Amino acid sequence: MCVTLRSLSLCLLCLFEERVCVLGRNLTQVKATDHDKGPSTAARETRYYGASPDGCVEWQAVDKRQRIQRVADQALASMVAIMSMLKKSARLRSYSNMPALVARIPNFEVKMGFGLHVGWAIEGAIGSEYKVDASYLSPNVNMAARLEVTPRCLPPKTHLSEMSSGRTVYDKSRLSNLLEVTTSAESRRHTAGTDEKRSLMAAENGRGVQAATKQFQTPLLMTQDMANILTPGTRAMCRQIDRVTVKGSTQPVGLFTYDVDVERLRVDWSDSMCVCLTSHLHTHTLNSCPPVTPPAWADDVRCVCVCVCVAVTASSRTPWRSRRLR
Amino acid sequence: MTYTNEFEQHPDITSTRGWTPEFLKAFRQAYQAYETGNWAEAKDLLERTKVWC
Repeated sequence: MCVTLRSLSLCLLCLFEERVCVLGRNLTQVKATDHDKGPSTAARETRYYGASPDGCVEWQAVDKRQRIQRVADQALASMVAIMSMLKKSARLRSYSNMPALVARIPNFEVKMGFGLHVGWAIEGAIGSEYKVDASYLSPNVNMAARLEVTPRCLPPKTHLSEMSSGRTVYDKSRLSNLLEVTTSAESRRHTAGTDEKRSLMAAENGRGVQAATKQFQTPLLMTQDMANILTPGTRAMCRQIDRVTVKGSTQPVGLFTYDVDVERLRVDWSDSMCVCLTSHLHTHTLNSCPPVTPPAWADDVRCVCVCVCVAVTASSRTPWRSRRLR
Repeated sequence: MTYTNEFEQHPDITSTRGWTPEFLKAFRQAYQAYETGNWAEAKDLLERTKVWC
C-alpha cells in the first residue's frame, strides 16, 4: 500500500524571466555606453554583462533563452533528486518501520507526486504575524496542481508502468469520458454515449471522477509548455504520454514525463549522517522503535543542527515580535 | 556541489534513470501512431515497449 503524505505542485514562475529581461537591459546599456571605448572593451562587455555599479558582480553572458532552459532543467532535476532522497532518507525509513504504523498500514511508503508547468503567477503573503507563507495564484498554478493530482494516487511502482507502456492507454480510451481530461484522438472517437459511459465506469470502479486520474501512473508530469523550455538534451530524455484538454479549458495540452526508477538506487545507510541523527532523536522521543546507534560525532552534529534551527526560527520571528511589542 | 548538467553528473539522477534511448525511440513511434489514430499500430508498438525496461 502506498500512502502519499504530501504532494508537491510546482509552477515555474515567470519571475526569473523578468530578471533575465533586466539583465538584458543592463547588457544593452553597458554595450551602448562603452561601445566607444574600443574593440577590446566592447568584446569584454560582450562576454560579461550586468555588472553592478561598483563592478564587483558580473554575470556570465548567456542569452535569455539559455538561462530559462537552465532554470527549467534544474527544476526538473530537483524533482528527480527529491524522489531519490525520499528513497534514501533514513528518517522516512524509520517511519515506515514503526511497528504501530506497519500494523495499521502494511507496506507503508512515502510517495510524492510532481506537476511542472510554466507561466505567470501572482505572489502574495498568507498566514499570521507568527508565520508568513508565500502563496501563488494563477491559472498556471492550477494547471500544475491538476498535474500533481494525477500522480498523487499511485501504486508503489510508478515508472514505466503498464499505462505508460500501453495497456492503460487503451483502457483510457474507454475511460476518457469519465475523466477530467479527454484526448484529442479520443474526442474524435467518442462523440456519443458520454453519460452512459460515465455512469457505467463509475459503477465499475465505485470511485467517481477523481480516482480515474490514476491513469497516468507516473510520479512526474509536465506540460508541453514546460517541456518546450528544457534544453534539447534534457527534453530528449522526456517523452510525451498524452495530449489532453483539462477541465475548464478548451486548449489541449501535451503531457510529458521523465522516467525515474528509484529502485535502482543503491542506498548506503551509514552515509546518511544528519538523517540518521534525526531518526535517532525521533526514536528516542517516541520510544517506540529500536534506537538507532548514532556515530561518534553525533553529539557535535546534533548541537549544530539544533543551533541552526533555533537561529533560523529566531531570525524569522524577530521582526514580527518586535513590531508587536512596539 | 555545483553541476553544469544535473542529468549527466548528479549521481542520484544518473543512477535512477528509468529509460533507455531504445525505449524512448520506440515509445515515440508508438505515441505518434496513437495520436494520429492508428490504434492497431499504436497498440502493437506500445506492447513492444513493455519489454524494454
